[in-house]
Amino acid sequence: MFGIDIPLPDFWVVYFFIFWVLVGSTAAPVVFRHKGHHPLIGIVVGAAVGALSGIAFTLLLAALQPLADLLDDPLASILVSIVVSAAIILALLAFVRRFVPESGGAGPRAVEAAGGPRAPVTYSARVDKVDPGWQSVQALRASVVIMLAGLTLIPVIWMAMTAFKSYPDAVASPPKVVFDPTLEGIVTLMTKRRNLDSAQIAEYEARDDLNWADRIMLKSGKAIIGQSDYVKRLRNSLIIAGTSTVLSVSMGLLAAYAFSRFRVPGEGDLLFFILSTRMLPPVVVTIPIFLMYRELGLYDTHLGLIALYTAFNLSFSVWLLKGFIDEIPKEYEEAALVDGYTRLQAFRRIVMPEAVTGIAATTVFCFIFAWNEYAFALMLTTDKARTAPPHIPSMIGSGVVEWAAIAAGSLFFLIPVVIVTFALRKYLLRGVTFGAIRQG
Amino acid sequence: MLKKSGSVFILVAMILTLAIGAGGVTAAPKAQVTELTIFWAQWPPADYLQEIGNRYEAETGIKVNVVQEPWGSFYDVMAAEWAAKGDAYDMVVGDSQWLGQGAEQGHYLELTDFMVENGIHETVTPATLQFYGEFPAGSGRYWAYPTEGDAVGWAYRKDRLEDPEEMAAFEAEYGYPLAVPETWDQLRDIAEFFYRPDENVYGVGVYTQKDYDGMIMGYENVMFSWGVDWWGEGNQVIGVVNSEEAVEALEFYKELYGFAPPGTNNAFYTEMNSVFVNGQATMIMNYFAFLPDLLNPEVNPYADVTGYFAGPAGPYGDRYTALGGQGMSVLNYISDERKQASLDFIKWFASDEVQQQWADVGGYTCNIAVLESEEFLTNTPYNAAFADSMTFVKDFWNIPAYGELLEPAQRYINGYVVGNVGTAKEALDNMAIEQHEILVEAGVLEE
Amino acid sequence: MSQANAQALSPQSAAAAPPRQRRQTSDRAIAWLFITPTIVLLVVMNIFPLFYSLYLSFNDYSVIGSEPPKWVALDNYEKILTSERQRYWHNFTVTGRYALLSVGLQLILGFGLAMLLREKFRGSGLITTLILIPMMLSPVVVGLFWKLIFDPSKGFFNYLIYTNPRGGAEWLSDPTLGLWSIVIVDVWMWSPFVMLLCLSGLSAIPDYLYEAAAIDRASAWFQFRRITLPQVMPLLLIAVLFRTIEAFKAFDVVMGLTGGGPGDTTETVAVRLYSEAFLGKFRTGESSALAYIVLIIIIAISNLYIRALNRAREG
Repeated sequence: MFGIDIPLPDFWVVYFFIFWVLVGSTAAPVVFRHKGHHPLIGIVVGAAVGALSGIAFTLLLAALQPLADLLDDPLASILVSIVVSAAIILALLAFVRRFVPESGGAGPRAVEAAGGPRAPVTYSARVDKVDPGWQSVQALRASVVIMLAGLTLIPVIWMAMTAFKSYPDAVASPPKVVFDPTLEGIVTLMTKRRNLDSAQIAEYEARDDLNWADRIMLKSGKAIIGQSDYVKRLRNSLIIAGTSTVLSVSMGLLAAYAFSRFRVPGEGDLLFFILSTRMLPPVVVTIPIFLMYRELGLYDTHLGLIALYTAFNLSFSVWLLKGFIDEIPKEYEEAALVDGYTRLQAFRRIVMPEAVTGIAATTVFCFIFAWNEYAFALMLTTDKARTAPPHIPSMIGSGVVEWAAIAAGSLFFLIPVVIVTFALRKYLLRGVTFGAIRQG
Repeated sequence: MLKKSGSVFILVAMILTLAIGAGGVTAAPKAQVTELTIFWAQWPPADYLQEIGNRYEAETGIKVNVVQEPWGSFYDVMAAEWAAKGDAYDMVVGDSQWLGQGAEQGHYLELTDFMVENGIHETVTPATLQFYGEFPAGSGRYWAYPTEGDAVGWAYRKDRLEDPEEMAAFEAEYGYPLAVPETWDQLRDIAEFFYRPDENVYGVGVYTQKDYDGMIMGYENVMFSWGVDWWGEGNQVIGVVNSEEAVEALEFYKELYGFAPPGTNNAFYTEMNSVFVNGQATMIMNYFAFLPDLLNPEVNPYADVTGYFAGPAGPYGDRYTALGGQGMSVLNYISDERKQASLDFIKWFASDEVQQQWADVGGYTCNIAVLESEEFLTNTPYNAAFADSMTFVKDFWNIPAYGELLEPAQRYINGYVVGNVGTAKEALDNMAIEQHEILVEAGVLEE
Repeated sequence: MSQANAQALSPQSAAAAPPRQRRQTSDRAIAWLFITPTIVLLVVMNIFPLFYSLYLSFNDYSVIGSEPPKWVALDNYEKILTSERQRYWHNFTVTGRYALLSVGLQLILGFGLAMLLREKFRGSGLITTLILIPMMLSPVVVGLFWKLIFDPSKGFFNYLIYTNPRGGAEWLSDPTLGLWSIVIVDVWMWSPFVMLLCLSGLSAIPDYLYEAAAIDRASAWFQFRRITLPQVMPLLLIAVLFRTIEAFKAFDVVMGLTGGGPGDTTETVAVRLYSEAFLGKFRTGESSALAYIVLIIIIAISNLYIRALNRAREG
């Protein structure tokens, strides 16, 4: 409806304003707490300090504007503004730290906790870690991370916004930040449509058996003529990626265990061979696999893609998991075996629980690969087993790329991976110590 | 590293290789055909065909299933299916260039007798029959039923071309009145006139896509209109595709690209529409199949002031436009019952009545009766330009080696126009040499 | 295959048998039981195609042609390595530059992010997951969307770095910036991956090293150089290895963004491979040969890395 042409400096002004306020309101409370005040005061003072720096940034940017216009490259003026406003906020924070009065007891306690010669030095009580300066740096570090994450996410946020744009808004020049949200994209994603001429539109408008989706499409002169394939593709993706992930992780676990615990002849060769299959550009193996699948009747079947993804992930999961199992001391099982466990029992009760971190990390990586795989899905399926990745980017209307539908489709498609990753994130962080690091 | 295990793997690989090589595909014939599968690209006309298919199911009880494949891999999947002699699809609505391959390599069922007996060949316009159905050219042998007619046409902004101030300024600058261009030179002048980056207004949008055939489909319009062909006497290409006129035409196309909106360096039909819809381009080239969205005010805010015209004429009197569109063929690897059922479907589909429905739901029919009806010509603002264009279309090679011939053409022409690689002459010379080699290898041309 | 493998396995396993008889047999059976499915699947799905394409690489063959493969020995390889006009060397140069730029930047950014995220704070788990989102996206969608983002008039990218975006760079159509735009997208997408690797490396550094350094009042720079960096080095190398291999393989993002253009300035080996193997050309024999050359390069690079890795671990 109304396009707001947000030029660059405006964006950075907003961005750095938030940034400095964030820095101020996280760093200042540390000082205040340290000096025995209520941290809330710190937040307020910090936010004020941040806002001051933000204003300084804005003013500076405005003052340097003629220079930027002259060079048609504002990066220099932005950098100068950043540096100067950073100096301002640091000076202000130092000022606060220096001149805020102590209010009783808290300070000495921190020093005590840091430990004199009597107390053993532990990580949590390290001198540098209770120092308010260090803690402020921590706060600054967190703020920087949050702001960087925000920057990284801009394309994703843009995608989310596009999902609710109408077509002209999606390709507007200049791009629109403020727009009239519409569900058109989602309806487009879920349906097949055709264009109506004016007589037909009038006829449709007279009908009263239309639901909300029909109405949305009718506004842009289109009639819904059926359900799209998207839901089917998404279901295929779930089945194929899910099954192949479970298979590749479980088979990989078994093989990794065998490689780790038993002497397998030609182990080095086999392991290298397994890994090397991952190095071949997938484009090449597509043709032999295509021929083979035609022969075996696996073309365009769920089973075919499951087997393929399992095999491709297997090489990866064997390597990754072997590293984890190597870490588990052999003695645990030896002891269990002496206690009368069978190998299988020992494997299930001792090894698997110990390897859970590795299993989780492997699961995430296998799932991401199988979920997003494009080239094989494109060449080895057409309809019944086709997954979403080849389907989403090819959604074009009668001559326009349906950006909103593609964005909506991509977003829905992103949700399962994010859920899996988020659920397993603890293991992921601890768990990606790649197997290869220890075996070489 | 492979020492020990290596021999085992080689052995197994060879056994499997032999198994693949030796195996042949035998399809179990189905007694009763209850379902027909039609393969087409993923785009709205395929949805329309599905709608027509649903009517067929209502009438006969035979289910029609239109399987859609993205344009980018449409040919790849079909070619792979042919290579495997697969019977996954009964019919395909294939590109005009595929005819040679389909006919010569036996992928398509010959439809000559079927079409002549039922009089179908007389229900469609001769040009469409020639380009979408006949191979070799002039032989009178048909392999496909012209289903979706298409050619490159033009959309333009009436509000800019008909603005009195602009018209006065244009005439002052170029010495003739501003109007819908009739020649390429006029089109160039208009494009130059409206090339105003400071106002976010640009002259003309042209195809430049590198991946498959986009670049050529754009360049062809200029090339044909300069009197250049893809082949000359005895299928010679050297001296034909790189003639002086061709060099001129290519330089002209690059000049046009200079007036294009930014970001259209890898552009095809979707990009054309988007630079038009967002108000940047004053004129765009595009296939008629992709123009319907421009009528829609929700998509195209300038729908009211959008006009359409057919391709302009070249400097030496030639006037041609690049052909698009597809014909429906029956695949040869299905059982006889399924072939018969497919022919029955085409016969039903080709009837005037169903073709009228086809046009109504949005298909670009090739049926004479429908095309000539006054209703069709005035139904949309571009139907007249479409009917006009279909009388002066030309196409790329349609022999089996067309894909190989296309590749160096795409590469060199895109390299010159977009990538500023070398000169027009160098690009065309290199392209001609490579195409010559391909043709010799394909046995089309004597060394 | 399984039969052959079993025989290959058994005699030597017997030789390496642990002392106790009862466990020895069952262990062997288990080893055998555990490994076989993996090996069978890998042979069928990976090794067979590998050898089949090796065979095809010595043939003149098109998968869509009606003729059977014709043995031409090393012709395909010769053509790729010597033909001036085919410009294969160009694809390798582009890939090399692309790999160098993107892997280098990913290392710096990924490592930097990991250092920032090292100490946990409230919500750091959530932030980490959010930062990881780019690598969870489907590469085709990423290519498509960044094309919109880079668009000089419809995309927001230029609006973030120019005061007057209309005079801004045309990222995807400029021959020198084309490669950079691919690098930017690659870095955006995969720096989180490097970060993840570095984070796990950092978390594995034993605390006592820093405690000792803290007692010695060692400078932050000294701690970083003498403790952090050597400890994370192996993982950094792994990251380099993985990303380099991917740089040779990835084609979906490049296809989506530039299609190899303008001209062939961004045509990486993987894109070239794809266009030789498919896209209407279907030069199956030649593309298989190219793939094998790529594979040999990748294996060579991997071996170099693994050697460096071993040195890093020992040193």
